[in-house]
Amino acid sequence: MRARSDVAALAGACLCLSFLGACERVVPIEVPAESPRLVVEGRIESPRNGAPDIPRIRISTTQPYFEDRPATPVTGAVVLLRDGTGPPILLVAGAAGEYVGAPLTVVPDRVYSLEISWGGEEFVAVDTAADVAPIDSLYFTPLAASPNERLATLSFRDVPGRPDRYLWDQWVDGVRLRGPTASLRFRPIASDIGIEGSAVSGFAPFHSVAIPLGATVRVRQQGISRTTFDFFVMLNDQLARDGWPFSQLPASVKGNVRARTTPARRPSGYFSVGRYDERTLVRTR
Amino acid sequence: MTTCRGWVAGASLATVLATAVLATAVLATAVLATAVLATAVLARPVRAQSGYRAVTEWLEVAAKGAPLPSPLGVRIAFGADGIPLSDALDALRARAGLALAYGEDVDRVRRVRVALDTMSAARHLVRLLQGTGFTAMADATGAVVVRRVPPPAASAVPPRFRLSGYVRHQDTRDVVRYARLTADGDSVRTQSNADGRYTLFLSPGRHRLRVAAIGFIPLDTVVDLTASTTLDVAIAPRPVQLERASVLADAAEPDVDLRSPSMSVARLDLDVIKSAPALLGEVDPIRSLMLLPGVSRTSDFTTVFSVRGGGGDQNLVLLDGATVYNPTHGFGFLSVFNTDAVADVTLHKGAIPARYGGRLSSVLDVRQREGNASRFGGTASAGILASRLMLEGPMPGMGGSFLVAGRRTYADVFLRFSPDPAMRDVTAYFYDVNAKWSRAVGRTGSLFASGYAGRDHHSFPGVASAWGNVTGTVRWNQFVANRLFHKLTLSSSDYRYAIGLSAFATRARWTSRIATTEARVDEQWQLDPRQRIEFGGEAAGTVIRPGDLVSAESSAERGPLTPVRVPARRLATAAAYVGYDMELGDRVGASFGVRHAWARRLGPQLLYRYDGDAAVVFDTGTGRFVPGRLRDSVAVGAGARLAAGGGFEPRAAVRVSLGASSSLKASWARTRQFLMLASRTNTPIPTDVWEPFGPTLAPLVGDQFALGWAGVSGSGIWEATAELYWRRLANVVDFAEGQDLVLNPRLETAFVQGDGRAYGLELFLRRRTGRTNGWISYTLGRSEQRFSVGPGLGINGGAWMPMPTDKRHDLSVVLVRSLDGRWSLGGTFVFASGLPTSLPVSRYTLDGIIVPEYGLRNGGRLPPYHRLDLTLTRTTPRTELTLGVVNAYNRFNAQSLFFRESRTDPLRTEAVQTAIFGIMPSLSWTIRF
Repeated sequence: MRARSDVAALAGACLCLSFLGACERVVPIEVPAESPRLVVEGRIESPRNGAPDIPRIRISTTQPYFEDRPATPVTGAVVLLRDGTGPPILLVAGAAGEYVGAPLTVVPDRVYSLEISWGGEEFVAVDTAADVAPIDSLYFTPLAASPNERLATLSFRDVPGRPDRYLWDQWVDGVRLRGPTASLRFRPIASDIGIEGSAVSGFAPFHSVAIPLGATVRVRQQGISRTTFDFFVMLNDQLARDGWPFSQLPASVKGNVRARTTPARRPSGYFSVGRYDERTLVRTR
Repeated sequence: MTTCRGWVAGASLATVLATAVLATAVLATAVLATAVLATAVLARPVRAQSGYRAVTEWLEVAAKGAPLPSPLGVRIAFGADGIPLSDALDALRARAGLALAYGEDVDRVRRVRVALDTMSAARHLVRLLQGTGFTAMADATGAVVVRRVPPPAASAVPPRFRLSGYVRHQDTRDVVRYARLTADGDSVRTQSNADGRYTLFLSPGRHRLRVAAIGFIPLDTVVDLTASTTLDVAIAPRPVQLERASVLADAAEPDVDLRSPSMSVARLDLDVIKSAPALLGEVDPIRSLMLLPGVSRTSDFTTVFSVRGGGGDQNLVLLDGATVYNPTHGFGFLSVFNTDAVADVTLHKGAIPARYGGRLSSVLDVRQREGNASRFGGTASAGILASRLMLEGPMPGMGGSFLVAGRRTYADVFLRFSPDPAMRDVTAYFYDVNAKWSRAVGRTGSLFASGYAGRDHHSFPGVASAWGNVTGTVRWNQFVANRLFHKLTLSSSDYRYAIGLSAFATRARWTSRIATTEARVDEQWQLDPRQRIEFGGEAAGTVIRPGDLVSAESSAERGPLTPVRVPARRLATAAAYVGYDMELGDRVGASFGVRHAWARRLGPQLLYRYDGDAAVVFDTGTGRFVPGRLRDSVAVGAGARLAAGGGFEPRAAVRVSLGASSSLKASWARTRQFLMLASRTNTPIPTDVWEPFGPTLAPLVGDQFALGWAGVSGSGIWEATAELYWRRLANVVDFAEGQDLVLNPRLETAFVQGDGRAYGLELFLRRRTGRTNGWISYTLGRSEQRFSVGPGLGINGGAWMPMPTDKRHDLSVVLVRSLDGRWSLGGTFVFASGLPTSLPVSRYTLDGIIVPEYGLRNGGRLPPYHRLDLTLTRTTPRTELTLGVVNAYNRFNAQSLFFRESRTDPLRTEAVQTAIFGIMPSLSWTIRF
């Protein structure tokens, strides 16, 4: 639920009442610099139908803030994934800092840990695998502002009796929707506050992305833990900052990855384990 | 449970009281000792001459049968008709054959007159000398000496009468608060209180009385006291044209009362500050307060203000005694105070009187006008942003007077012309209504009922919201037995908001509310001209509904939203206070008091308990505060206690006069706060919720020490003050990252508590009269906080960091120039250091999005802020036309600095400053009828 961001947007619109001069400007500024830190993007997922999926961890490093080049992938790291039952799974470096391993099936409520060794330092992250409610149906609904346009829309029923938190992804013709565009500044997440055990219909997680006629849409609904949910809340808050008085105060987004060797060298990023459900549909009309 | 820091928790009652008394007595002791010694030297005992008795004594003896000394007992016929006393004595001497002597000072006595009558010579003597200041002494031989009546002994208490009553506006009969009354020069003085009541102690006879108040023409009159008297004094307001010409500077009287120990107080006269340049033509008292030392803005957009570095929620805002929880409109753009309805505004920045409590940094006491009791009238005005209408007059049928004032904005009309379709659908307006009825109760009492209701409405495609305050106050004032000023107040305040939004494709309604009901009694007892006692108490109940989320619709296609109701919080508070004001001679004055506050957090509620009683813990691995481990939860029944807090809050102030035109002052005040505002944005927004203290959230405690100097030039044209302050704060709040403040039933897991400190120097210089007048205000200050859980652990490693409101320099210059009788030109220039901000030290990529990684919190600064506002006003007896321009040279004043990806190159990042407004003209027109 984006209540807070809606209120902030409303307030920002009201600010337009006073515009007679420039509202914003890009300025040159010098900022402090620090030595590179590790960045972990870890989403271990498998479908809720029990089929395995390939675990993928992307590792990179931070860079100076005004360095206008892609992120630096990390190579040569040793990445181990443990599920507390058998031997660890070794993830092998692939392209662009992505480490992959043998397919695995996520078991809900099991505790998974990620261990990274790199540059003489040890890093670790822990997450409890989250389950997810199944998608009942995927369909298209008209966009409110443009009735000829269509949104990918879901129906599902939240599972009663357990706290559920959701993260959504969407692919259009095989291309995953990701930022940074004005409509994709936030990662669509939600908790089950207000829908505990209820049926949800007509919900479009990417509510501003119109699906072209003939396009194939794949929507993934993933369960995430409380830790991952908090991380994305912080991330969304920071991504929503637009300089207006009602923005969140600037703050680093701190995830659940820890530096074991040198605690002050805290990595950025997150490690999340959960199951997902997907639906695919082609817009034919 | 987070505990208070050692210096607070360890203070015992005896230590606290002793320190309060000692702090005020140190300076006074030496002066008092000197005064006593001087009195002893100057006072001499009166001795009667040997063998002589007063003739009156001889007559008393004679009444018991003893004979009078001859020839005092001789009966003669005698009278005097307007002749000098010496001639009358000569005549009596001759008629009665007295051996009578008198000194040369008898010749200076005015003429005497006694009717022709036959009686003893002794009785003629007594009758003749009555009221002349002389007395007759006689010995046993009948020899008489006439001498001056000796002065009374030093220990004798001269008779005193009380002169008391109300100071009132000559035309409207509104009470005039904080008017100064002096008798016979400056030998006897007092000030009308917050309800316009005054008391003077004077000797019998005639006295010159002077009454002066901000915005009024001083009144000089003569009173002749033969007994204690009730007298209402009416003073005339300064004519509008003369006001505009003379004293915008009268807009503030921060600490100019040289004879009072009170300090760190600012009072505004609304009629005068209307001359100041106003944003979009809307005069706002809170924006005007920000031009005074020690009061700063947190952003151009908002009227949320910071006092000596404190947060916006640390200011207690009162309207006729009722708490206003969100005193802003339009997301903070304007305050809720309509200048047409407000009589005066008083801000206590420090040395907060013992009758106030509940907030750490300041008390903003706003009083509504009572309406014109003499005739009907009003004003109407229209501007770019809003229109206002005010009506007042005698109340038909009920007696007394009434006032009703309303305003409504319509600026969103301009959005209809926006090229952006989204903007055209935006609704944004607010309205508010103030009302008050008051009437006298007998000759010495008064009763009033006042209220306020305001509402903001805003909507944007997909989101609609409304919020507002409703307050009500009933007060009865009564002067009892000519000694005690009694005040009984019942008040209520209610702030609520409602937001309609879309949640999971369902229309939902999100509401929140905070409501307080309070009763209080205040007594003021003027013991004598130099001593006054105040005492009283209050009790309040507050209910907070942090958030309810319910479905706003239900249909076959869209399932209903499961209601979410965050359990209500209940807070009961009470306080009792006593204060004592005294003057030790003419050079030293002191005011000390103590307040004791009690607070109870009550059920029914589910009490969450955490390991180690810590709702928030610091995770060293991730470097952030995270919720504590939940152990269990316990249901607490209705009225049962979840948590208790409170303690003594000493208040002390002392004044030492350095001469007739300057004084030194010092003060100390301890304050407590049991409610905190959960807000993590740059500026509080209407949907922020209040959270009371609890088992794991300690009340805030603060101490403030101040040392000041105040002076007035010999001509009275210039006033100046300088004040040093130092504050220490315990349990200030910040918020754990990632924790949602919205609809969170365990909001205590979001609060982090630490220490704060602030210190600074405030300078103020004002020219009070002349064609050009105004003031310069400068503050040099620093405010810091830290959240440490151990060496190197906590926010910024537990080190001290600037508070979000920290400004090193803050300068305001306000000038008004009268061009002629009708035109006046006003200008305001402000300069301030930039607010703290956080700077990134690196960046990384997640899901293709570049995310900044920040360094030290508040480790950077925005650029300095400066702005010039101008206003041109044309005033006639009935109308006023104001042209203004804010930010006359279109300075880009950065309010924030944020970092984002470039819109043209996703790999490139940029730093962006935002400003709230550029140059803004305004126009407003007011008519009085």
